[in-house]
Amino acid sequence: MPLNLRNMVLKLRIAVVCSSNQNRSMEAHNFLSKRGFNVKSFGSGAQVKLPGPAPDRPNVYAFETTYDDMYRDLLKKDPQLYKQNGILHMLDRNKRIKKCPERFQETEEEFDLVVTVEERVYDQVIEYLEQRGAQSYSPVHVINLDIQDNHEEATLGAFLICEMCQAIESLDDLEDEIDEVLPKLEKKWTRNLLHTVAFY
Amino acid sequence: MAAEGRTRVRLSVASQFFHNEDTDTLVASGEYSAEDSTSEKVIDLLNQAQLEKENKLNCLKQVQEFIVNKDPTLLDNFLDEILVFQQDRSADVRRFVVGFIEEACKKDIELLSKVQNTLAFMLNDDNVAVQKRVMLCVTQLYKFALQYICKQKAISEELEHLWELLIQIKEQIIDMLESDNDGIRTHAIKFMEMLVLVQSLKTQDSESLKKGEADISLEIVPRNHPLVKMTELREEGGSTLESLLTLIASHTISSVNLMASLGSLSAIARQRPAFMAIVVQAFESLHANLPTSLSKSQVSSVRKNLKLHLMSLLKHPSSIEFLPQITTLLTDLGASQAELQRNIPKVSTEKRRPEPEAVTSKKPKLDPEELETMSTSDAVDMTAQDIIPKLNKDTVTDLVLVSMLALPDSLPSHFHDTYTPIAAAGGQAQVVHLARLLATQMNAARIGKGYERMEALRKAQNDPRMKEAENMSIPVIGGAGSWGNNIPGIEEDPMFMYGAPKPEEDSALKRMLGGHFDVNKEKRPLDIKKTPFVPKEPAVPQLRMRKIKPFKLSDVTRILNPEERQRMMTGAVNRILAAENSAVRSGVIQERNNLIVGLVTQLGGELRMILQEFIQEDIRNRYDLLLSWLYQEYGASERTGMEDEPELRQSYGDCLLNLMDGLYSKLDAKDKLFTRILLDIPSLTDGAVMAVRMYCEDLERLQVGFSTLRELILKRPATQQQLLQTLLELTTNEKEQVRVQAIHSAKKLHTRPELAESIEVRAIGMASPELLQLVENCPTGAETLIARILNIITDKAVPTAELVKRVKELYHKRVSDVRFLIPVLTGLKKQEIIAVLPKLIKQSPSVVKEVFNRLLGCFHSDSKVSATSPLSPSELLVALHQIEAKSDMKSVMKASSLCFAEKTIYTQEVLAVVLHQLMEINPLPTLFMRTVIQSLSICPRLVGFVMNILAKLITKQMTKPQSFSVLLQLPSRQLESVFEICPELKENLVAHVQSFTPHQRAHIPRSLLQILDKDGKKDEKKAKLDKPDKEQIDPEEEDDGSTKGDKSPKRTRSHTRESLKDKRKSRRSRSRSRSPRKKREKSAGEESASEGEIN
Repeated sequence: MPLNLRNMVLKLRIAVVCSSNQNRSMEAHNFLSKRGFNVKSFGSGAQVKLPGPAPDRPNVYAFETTYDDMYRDLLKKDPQLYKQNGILHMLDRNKRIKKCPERFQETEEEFDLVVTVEERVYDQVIEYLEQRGAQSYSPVHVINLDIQDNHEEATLGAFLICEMCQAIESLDDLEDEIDEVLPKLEKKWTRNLLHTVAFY
Repeated sequence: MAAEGRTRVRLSVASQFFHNEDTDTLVASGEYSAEDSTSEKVIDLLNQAQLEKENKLNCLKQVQEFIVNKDPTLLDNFLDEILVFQQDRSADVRRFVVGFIEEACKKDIELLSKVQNTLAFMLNDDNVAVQKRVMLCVTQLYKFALQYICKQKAISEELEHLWELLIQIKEQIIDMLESDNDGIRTHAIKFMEMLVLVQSLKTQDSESLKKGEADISLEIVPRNHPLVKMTELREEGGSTLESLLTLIASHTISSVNLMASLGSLSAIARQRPAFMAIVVQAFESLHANLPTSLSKSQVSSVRKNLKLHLMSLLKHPSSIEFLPQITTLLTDLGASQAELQRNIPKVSTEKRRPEPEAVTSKKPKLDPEELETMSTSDAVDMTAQDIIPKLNKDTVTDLVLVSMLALPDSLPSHFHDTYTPIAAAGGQAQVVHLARLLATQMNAARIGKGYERMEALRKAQNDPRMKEAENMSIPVIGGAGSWGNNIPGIEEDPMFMYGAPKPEEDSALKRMLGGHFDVNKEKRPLDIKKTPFVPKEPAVPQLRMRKIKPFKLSDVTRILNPEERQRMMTGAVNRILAAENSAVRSGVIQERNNLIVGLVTQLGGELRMILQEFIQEDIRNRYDLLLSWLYQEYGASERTGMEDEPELRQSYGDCLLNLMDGLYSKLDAKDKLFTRILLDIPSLTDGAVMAVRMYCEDLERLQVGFSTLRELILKRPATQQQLLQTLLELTTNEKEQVRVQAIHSAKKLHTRPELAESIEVRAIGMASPELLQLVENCPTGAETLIARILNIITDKAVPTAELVKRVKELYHKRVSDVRFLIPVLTGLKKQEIIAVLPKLIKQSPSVVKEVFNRLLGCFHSDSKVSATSPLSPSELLVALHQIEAKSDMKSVMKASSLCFAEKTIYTQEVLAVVLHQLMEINPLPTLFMRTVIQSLSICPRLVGFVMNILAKLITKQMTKPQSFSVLLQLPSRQLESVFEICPELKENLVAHVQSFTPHQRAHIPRSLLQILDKDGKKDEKKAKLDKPDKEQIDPEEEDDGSTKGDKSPKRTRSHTRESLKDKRKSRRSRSRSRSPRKKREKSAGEESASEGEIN
């Protein structure tokens, strides 16, 4: 066990997962870490996809590609386009948070709470957690909150995720009370949440 | 060694106390590397942990790192030191201890015997998190413990104890499934999953765990082990699975527990494919009966989970047998065909071939006659087979019609969420699926062919046949014969086995394991009889009871929810409103109106809007309805206690306001109906007044608005003041048209004496206290405004004394601009005016003119102002003459010429008075003669009077030489008369003429000269006598006349030829004619001369 867990161990270990670990999960990562949460972000897709010159021509990268490399690549390809659609700005933000996108299915780390931003990601996360097979048997709560993949919705979504994490972290007994918190949030936001428990 | 370590710990406490920080840095930088120093380091850290509070956990973690991962040989040494912390106050530290135990035991399972008491103790910790941590720990350690025990050949007392305690802990954890805490239950479920997996046998198809995780199963248990009995464990595993199945069939299970259980069951089915059938069936049953306690989104989550697990089952080779069930379920859960194809394992194609064989081989099993016992799944199959042919169109239609009666009024949310359209309705596959669903339900309700057969077989069987039952049943459950004796829970509560009398016990057990119950039932004949007659499902008895119950209205009616109530109410009122024509035909309009009004007034809410809209559709024809409604509302508002229900009191006001809004948008801009309504309504609210005001301010509607306002003022005395106030406020509206209309209206109303007063207040009067105040405290910069206001208000009226006083004060104290006084001039005293007159006439011509207008305005015959000026015109003119010393002559001249211009005021008589008064003044005003001349030029008839005056002046010896020139200009006859009146004048004049140069004299009319010549000698003498006088008064004149007489012929000429007014010109021409060398002298003389001449 690493030695630097002095503060981390008491805090809820949160993962935010979107498909490419670029927009929604990074916005939430940024937002939550600024508010003192112990948060990490991941992508659940096979590759990292960023919008390209046309809907059917996305820019595809491997997960190991650094944000900085992507930034340079896009800057070379069409600075005007990627500046205008905010992708460069986003990558610039991302590279200040961490080096490169991470794939949820490749992390060994364990979390208490995994927040996904769309149903497909939720499915992939649960499927992966189930496939892992029980090893430590420690539970992880997976919650899905649908967020559209654009900058505005990502910002809004980060707020909601933060509110949710605050509500959950403030619980004395997460597992016993989470079922009471989520319906309240659902009602407040008039959004549906998917929630399940998986095990490491 | 442990004891030694402890001693060292104690010894070093003190020193450590002072070196905490050093240790910290050293540890952080990882400088301890030597192996022998590791234990020292651990000691240090442990000491630190004892002392510290905040950093305790961190220290302990470092200890764990050192003794578990780095140097496990130290584990034994320091274990006790760590275990001390199990009593720590911090739950996090206690959790750490459990985690440490877990890690330590994973390294060396033998330690378990040393720590198990701690674990057992901490399982009862007050803190839920600690409890859960222990559960997790045991879940992980159990299999290793079992493995360890099984490996021991020699059974020590210690080992025996370990095993006993382990069983105890295990049982306690299973019991925790009943905990109140959701998280604890979840952990219990995971423990049970582990238990089922460990205490069952692997098969060929068992999915192996990845990464070489120790997949421990019952195979590790050796035959004839003194402590561990394989069969016992197997049975326990089976019963644990049953508990899980029971759990997921519970209607009160939480969604997290349910999903955890689903995951566990799915894992069990994959890793122990022998249980596949049971799990699939459990899933199938669950899908048809999701717990009712779940919320909408929980239902979606559970369904998603179910789908995921079914998919993973589908991928498993052992599920091939259940392919139809699984795929149907998945289709119901919304999986696409492509998804299914993708997840069906590749081997399936090969395995599919034997499938028909499997089916055929199964079929004989289904033949009830050949079977001696039946499992539940067989029973379900049998019932399904029975049902399939019966699902023809007629039966289905009947079923649909019958079930329609039982449908709820609104779609239950969970149904809505879970509903997926049936892909191929009516197809054979669907019929089969439906039959299976029905059969499952029927079996649970203990009806149907299969169930009856199963029951019959059960009765027919006896204990000795139990082994056959075991064989028939799914391999799960192990030895059916012995299980009832081994599981404590079941033994204590035999009802548990039968389920039926115990309400919370669920049907799932019977559904899935029905085949095994007969085993015990045989032993309890009482129950055998009971079972078939006590229906398990509550739905059936409810239906039966309803028939017997006597009819009660309260039973068949329910309290409508507010929305429904509102909807029905609205519907009823709408229908009454729509029945207008029939009401008219039947002559019940009044009744209908009353009905509507009554309903709307009492029920209020949305109905008001509906009624209002209805009325507005045809307001003229529904005017009666409108009025009776408003009166009703008004009545209701007045009736209700004013204080108690402000809401009700407001309703009338709100109605009116809404109505006004409606009228505003619906009525034509010039429709007089607006006026009528406002005149007819029971009472004017503030809102209504606002509406009228809105009309007035709307340029399109202001005609109607103002006429309404006028009417209302006249005809609604109660609100007269308020309305009048509104009108008067409008007179200062920013829109000109509105202002004009408002003033117009106000004027009209002004004719009414009772209103006149209040209207005049409104206008800014001179008595207005605000104005006075304003003048008194004139703010800097507001001078112009005040001046303007003053100008306007005094334009047509005399300023009041009060105002005058304030303005005067302002003038004297603060604003020295004399113009301020102009508006109040007429209010000043005579002396005051005279005092400021010099300043006033210095102003710009227009201001001066204004001054004179004000001062003289009242003297115009057509003047509307009845006031009088403190100064009469004559006094004014006289006053002007008196200021010569103080002011510039030019200003005075201009001012006096303004007076002269007022010919209607400065008549002959007035001028006469002025001249007379001027003459009385001593010394004579400088401009006297000018005024005389001007007066003469305006009124030639004054000549006589002027002569008189002059004569008088002469008699006063105030004659001046220049008057001679005047005399010389008189016609001869007049001159004669002058001389007659004043003979002494003649001498002077003669002398004067004699002093003329001949050239000058030539310009004097002959007739005059003749008159003068009459007493020539006398004249000469007199002239000589007069000379000194003349020199005294005007020496230059003499000089001019005597020394330069011959050199200035033009001068005489000018005297005669040009008018007196143009003397300046002549002077100029004269100066031009002079020789340059004498210029200086002359110019000096000229100055004096000019003065003289003017005089």
